[in-house]
Amino acid sequence: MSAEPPSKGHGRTGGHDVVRPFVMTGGRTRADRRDLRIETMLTAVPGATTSGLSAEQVKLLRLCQAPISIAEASAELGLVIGVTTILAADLVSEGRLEVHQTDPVEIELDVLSRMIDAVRAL
Amino acid sequence: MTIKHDDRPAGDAWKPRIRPVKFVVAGGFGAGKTTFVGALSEIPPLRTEAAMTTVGARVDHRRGSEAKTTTTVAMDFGRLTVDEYLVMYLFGTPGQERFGFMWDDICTHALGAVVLVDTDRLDQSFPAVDYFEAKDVPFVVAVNRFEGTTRHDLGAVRDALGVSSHVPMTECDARHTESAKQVLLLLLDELVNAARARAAATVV
Repeated sequence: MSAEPPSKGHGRTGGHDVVRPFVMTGGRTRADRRDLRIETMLTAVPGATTSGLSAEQVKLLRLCQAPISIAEASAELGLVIGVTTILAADLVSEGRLEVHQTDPVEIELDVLSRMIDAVRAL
Repeated sequence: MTIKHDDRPAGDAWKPRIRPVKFVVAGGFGAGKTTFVGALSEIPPLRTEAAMTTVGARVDHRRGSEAKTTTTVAMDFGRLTVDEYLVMYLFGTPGQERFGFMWDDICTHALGAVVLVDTDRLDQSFPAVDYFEAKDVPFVVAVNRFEGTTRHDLGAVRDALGVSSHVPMTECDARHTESAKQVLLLLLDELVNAARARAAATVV
């Protein structure tokens, strides 16, 4: 994190500096994995080391000791969703993070029943 | 340094398998999205930000920012754990109409949606209704009954919104868990009906 951002955010930034976060991703604004969505669950691979990781990636890996969604990890880290997704994609490709199965299959009736029971019990 | 793990066999013996199921709560600014999420979530709603990139809005040849303008929009969401293998997420969409196109990031693979309506600002519900109809995302419409307001004629609201007759519509008070529950159950019932219809079609 020694590089300076190219500039403060331009355009409508609502007071947020939105360019700076993407410095953590080397300027990338899109992950090259399509299976990482905001609700995708991640878990650290048992025995994964933190060597060579940035401070943010270490924090992300620690959060993922228990299964956590990208959205929750983003909220915890105070990072924009897109940044978390890219950091996570790198950790997945390095074999440090595992993606929970995310096949967009049609939902089965028994899964719906379990959800209905859970909502009724609220 | 090694990340510690408890109660988990190493190697291939353990495969992650928690299934996240996503629901979207949409509606205009002030329609009660976060309140609704909070009424159902087991955690206080979390806030995160999504970057929104407008391509071509302005040309900038510096590396990493070519022809893009980036800003962020806040998004509140909640969680409802069903069991150790299934967790429901409720995502509130950013309400502003101009962010409509970033809904794709939020709504991809969403199982269903709730459109919250503030009858004083009906027009703010149009983008959500149009979006879910266009994308074939199953949805229900819930008129949020704000304190001191009278009950609404749901038929009139349906006509005003131009919502098809097959879309379930109800009233709710987003502040109350019991009321928010009924809305989510209405959506889940709709999904059950759709799943049964699919199953029947497959058998034939």
